Amino acid sequence: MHEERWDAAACLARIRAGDEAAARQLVARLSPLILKLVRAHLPRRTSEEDLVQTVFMRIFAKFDQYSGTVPLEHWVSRVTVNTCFNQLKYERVRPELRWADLSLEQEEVLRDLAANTDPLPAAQNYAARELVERLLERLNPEDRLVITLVHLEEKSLEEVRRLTGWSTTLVKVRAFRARHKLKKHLKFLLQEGKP
Amino acid sequence: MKNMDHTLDRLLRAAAAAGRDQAVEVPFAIEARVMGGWRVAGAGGEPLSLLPIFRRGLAFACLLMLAALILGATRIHDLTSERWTYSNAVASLALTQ
Repeated sequence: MHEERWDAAACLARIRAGDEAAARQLVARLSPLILKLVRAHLPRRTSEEDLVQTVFMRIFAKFDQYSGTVPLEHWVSRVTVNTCFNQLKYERVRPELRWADLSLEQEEVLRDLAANTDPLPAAQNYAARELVERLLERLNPEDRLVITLVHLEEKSLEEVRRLTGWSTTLVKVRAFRARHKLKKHLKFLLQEGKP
Repeated sequence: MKNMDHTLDRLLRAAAAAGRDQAVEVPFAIEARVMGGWRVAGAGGEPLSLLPIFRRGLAFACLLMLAALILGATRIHDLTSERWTYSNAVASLALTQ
């Protein structure tokens, strides 16, 4: 939309000087990215709009910390992921997920997973996503974040390292442990649903 | 367990595909709220923007306090050395007379 040579540094300087048009331009440019990240990491009990606004307020307040050595979008992604992560910490880990808590579509996904080894049909993608999100609620914020980044957003280790500030080894260890926990929760559900 | 790995992979792949399909359309309300927040912050209503000023003020107050302490200590030192010289002069005068 604003691809014609957008100068981030100049835009930030204009915003610092109180230029509302520049602020509006920045908001229009960054909103899709921030909204996408917020939706991917959204804590259940937080409003999407509230979190996007919090992220933007942090960005406006922390302009001075942006060095300009990396693209603005990278810096903004990191601020967004950290804001979501901090919000997740306020949410308590929920107890075991039971078959009775699931919707009919989510139950269908589980039945398909148990019945064969083929990839799930595309029509079940949204139900699968919802099911994974419900399973993720049983994990702590770090595990939840790493599973979302690695498996749902399909980010590379380097991208996860950059977004979280964790070392590559820590990302690998956390991803492995989180996956193991997720597997345990899924196994519990599958066993519970067996006739 | 290997079978469970495969099952989890299938579930995660389907979930990731659902995420890829999602179109991101920013509701107007979000932009309006963010711009409203920016205006308030610009008018000095945002507490975060006051923090750097407060920090600088605190640092300046600390520097002033340190300078006052150094100045006070120097003055005390000068006074005590003056007294020492005065008492020596009196004693010396008494001895010579």
